[in-house]
Amino acid sequence: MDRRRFLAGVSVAGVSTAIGLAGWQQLGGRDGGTGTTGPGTTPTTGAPTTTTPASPVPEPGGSESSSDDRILVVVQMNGGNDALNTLVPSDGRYRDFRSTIAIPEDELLVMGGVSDHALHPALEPLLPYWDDGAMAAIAGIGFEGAGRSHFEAMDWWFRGSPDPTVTTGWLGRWLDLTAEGDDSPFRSVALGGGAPALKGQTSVPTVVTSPGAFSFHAPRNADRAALEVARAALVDPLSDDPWIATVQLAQQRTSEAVELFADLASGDTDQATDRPRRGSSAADSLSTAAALIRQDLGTRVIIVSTSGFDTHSNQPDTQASLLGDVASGVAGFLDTLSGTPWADRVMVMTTSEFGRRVQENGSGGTDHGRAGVHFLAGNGVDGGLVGGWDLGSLTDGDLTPVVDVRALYRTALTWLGGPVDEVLGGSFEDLGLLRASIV
Amino acid sequence: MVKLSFRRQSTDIDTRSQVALIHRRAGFGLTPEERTEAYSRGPAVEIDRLVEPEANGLARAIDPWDDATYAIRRPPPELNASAAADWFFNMITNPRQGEEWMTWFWHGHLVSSLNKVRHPMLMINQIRMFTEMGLGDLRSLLVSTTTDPAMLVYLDGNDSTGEAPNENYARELMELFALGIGNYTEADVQAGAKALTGWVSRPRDGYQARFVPRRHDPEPQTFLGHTDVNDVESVIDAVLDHPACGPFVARSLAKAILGSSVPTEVTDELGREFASGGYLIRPLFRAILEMAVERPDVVSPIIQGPLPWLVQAIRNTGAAWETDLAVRGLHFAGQVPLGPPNVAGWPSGTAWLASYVVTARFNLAAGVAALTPPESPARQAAESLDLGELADILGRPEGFGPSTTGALEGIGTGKPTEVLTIALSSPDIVIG
Repeated sequence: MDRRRFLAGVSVAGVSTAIGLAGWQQLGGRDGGTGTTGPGTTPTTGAPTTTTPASPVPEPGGSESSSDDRILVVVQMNGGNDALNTLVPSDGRYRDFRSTIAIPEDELLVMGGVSDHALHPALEPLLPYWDDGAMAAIAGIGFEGAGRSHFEAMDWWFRGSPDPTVTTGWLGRWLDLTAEGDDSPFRSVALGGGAPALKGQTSVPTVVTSPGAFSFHAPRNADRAALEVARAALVDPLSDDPWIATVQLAQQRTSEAVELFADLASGDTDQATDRPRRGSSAADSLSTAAALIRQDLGTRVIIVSTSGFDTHSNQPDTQASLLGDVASGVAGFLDTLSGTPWADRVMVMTTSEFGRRVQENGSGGTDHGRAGVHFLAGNGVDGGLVGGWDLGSLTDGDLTPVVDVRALYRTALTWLGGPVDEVLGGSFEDLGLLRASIV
Repeated sequence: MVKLSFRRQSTDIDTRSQVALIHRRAGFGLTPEERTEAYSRGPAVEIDRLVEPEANGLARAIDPWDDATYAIRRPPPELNASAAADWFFNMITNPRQGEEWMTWFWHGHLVSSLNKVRHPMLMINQIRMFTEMGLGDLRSLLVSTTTDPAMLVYLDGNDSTGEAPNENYARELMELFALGIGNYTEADVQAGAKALTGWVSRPRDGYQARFVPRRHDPEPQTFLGHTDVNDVESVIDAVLDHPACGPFVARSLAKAILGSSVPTEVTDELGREFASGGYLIRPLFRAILEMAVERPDVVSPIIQGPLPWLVQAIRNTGAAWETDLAVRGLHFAGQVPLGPPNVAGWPSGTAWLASYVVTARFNLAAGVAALTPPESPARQAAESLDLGELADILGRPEGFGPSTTGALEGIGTGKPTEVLTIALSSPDIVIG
């Protein structure tokens, strides 16, 4: 397949704008860099590539954080978020394909600097970040050759590879390779659901689905102290039997995590307002994530899971509610940390296993498709729109993937620092979406 | 372990281990009274009782659901938990443990979920169907599943018409229910979706599925290499004719009983026999159970899901737990009956060791321990710290390992609630 090329956002004096679809098409074949002042790189055809980032350009107001202490928060939107109604093109064909579920023109959010795409109204809480140049949208993300199965697509995304013999998650590999003896149980944390992307050979994430219910209860009138002692004794000594030992280690980690989350929940910190809410929405989990980060326990990666994006029917209401949860959660997370030293140390990224079919399906919804749109947000992000939709060039009725998932991952791993290519099994495109002081 | 010899001597450790294993893996464990009888009957008879309850004179439990309660137009959400609790009660009390376990297996394989179906009556009827057909033949089971009212909601058959076919069911039928990924094409998904159009389930039809000809695409489809496919039966026949079908379904069942390390060659062979024998499920179930005792080399540990673990704990101890409350606890452990998280069913393996499951399991263990009555042999063994007997009652005739033994001895005698809490949540019992 002849991969489409695109331009990264152009940054001018710290204010990001973007080249929209027209510019993208016009310049698409150019084998050159991006703008003159941004951290431009060379978009390449095919992947993996051997492209190296262009030399950094000093950037006013850029982040000063070092890669040793940066944190990545991934918001995983399970079910396959419909990309076309998330980032809506001005192309008139959009309304033909979606006669009942198109977002009404007057409800769309205008994105500063972008003339031919607009955002779903539920993303309104994020608009200030867009306007500040601290948010990027990448349209057309997917794996070339991917099918439309949830489980296959999720596996590819979690592994960061279409190769079924890879048994670890992309972030699990990064955690393994950068651990250097750091065995903090909170280095990687999954909130709101499991997170196979964190699965490593040696690193094990802490998984908490519902922070409010995360505690040990003793039976009434029981000897609590005896139970505590016995619970500790269950995991000591570690068994020679690998199965028993696996359960023991899980129990030990859990005890440590319970203690921590009890502290968070009791407001036993100097930031009592950050106590986690007792729910499992993305916004609740992101609130917990902010509180956890402020505990300064060596957390590097947090995955927040949220589900329900598999909108085969009744899509408009469902998607609006889910995107609203994510947008208010991300904005709340960034707002909470704004003005603290953590603000320059966090970046948020969204993922979802695929986008959905361009043609609506007759049930007020959409079936499984291919390319998706994803977002990066934070002070380290050099904002703008990368790519855009070409409704005249679909793959089997789907938006065509033009940005490899691993190019998105490269951005995230570059942010975290460490062996990017080793984790990804090759060198993938640099999307040029990090501020110059970071790359 | 030695090869099964069907010795009359019922108390030797191999026999007890084999009996305990098959009841943990293909049933929900044994009550202390059943345990003594099962040991003396031995594994061969116990397998037969799990597989052939009718021939062994085992009565099926009375249907736990009261239609008058559930068959109402707008059921309030609390009826969902109540429907799950009713089934949970049946798992504890049903004398036909093999049949009950197979119902649970199909619920996790041919998945629908109240999370989307919303109406408990539809899910209840689907579970009843699995109980009726779960040990019959796969063709009838798949045909019934395809037009099952809950399934028509869950995988969008209700929204699928000749004009706008919805691919959800056709895809999952092949990917997750019968063939596995890589054994069909996107064109098969689209053809299958068209051939299956026309079936709808609506409450006003009395919770029955109905075929509406004007919603159906009668055009013959080419599907999995078969031409002239244009209805449910021809779709299922084409699926069953695929060489991947027998091995795929056999492997799913074998992994649930033998553990996930069972070699592919073994399950392929089981699958080929399953297919060539007309896809009869009962003989497949029996063959896998016989393998569990005769071929210890293909059996591997299973990290038990919270639900089977909890039902076993309640059966082993006789804990008098109000099932609504137990199901509320299962919610925190992530395994409420009728509510699988997605169409792939329940997670397995180390997913059940996630931190939130570990806490929920301890808390459920505490609940079971607190409600285990004084006359229970489990409580008496815990009280006197007779750890060999306690392990045996909890389905582990081999005894507890060193760490668990140390932890329980550290609690001491006279603290049965504490001992039971720790024993039930110990790694030795979490691994089934």
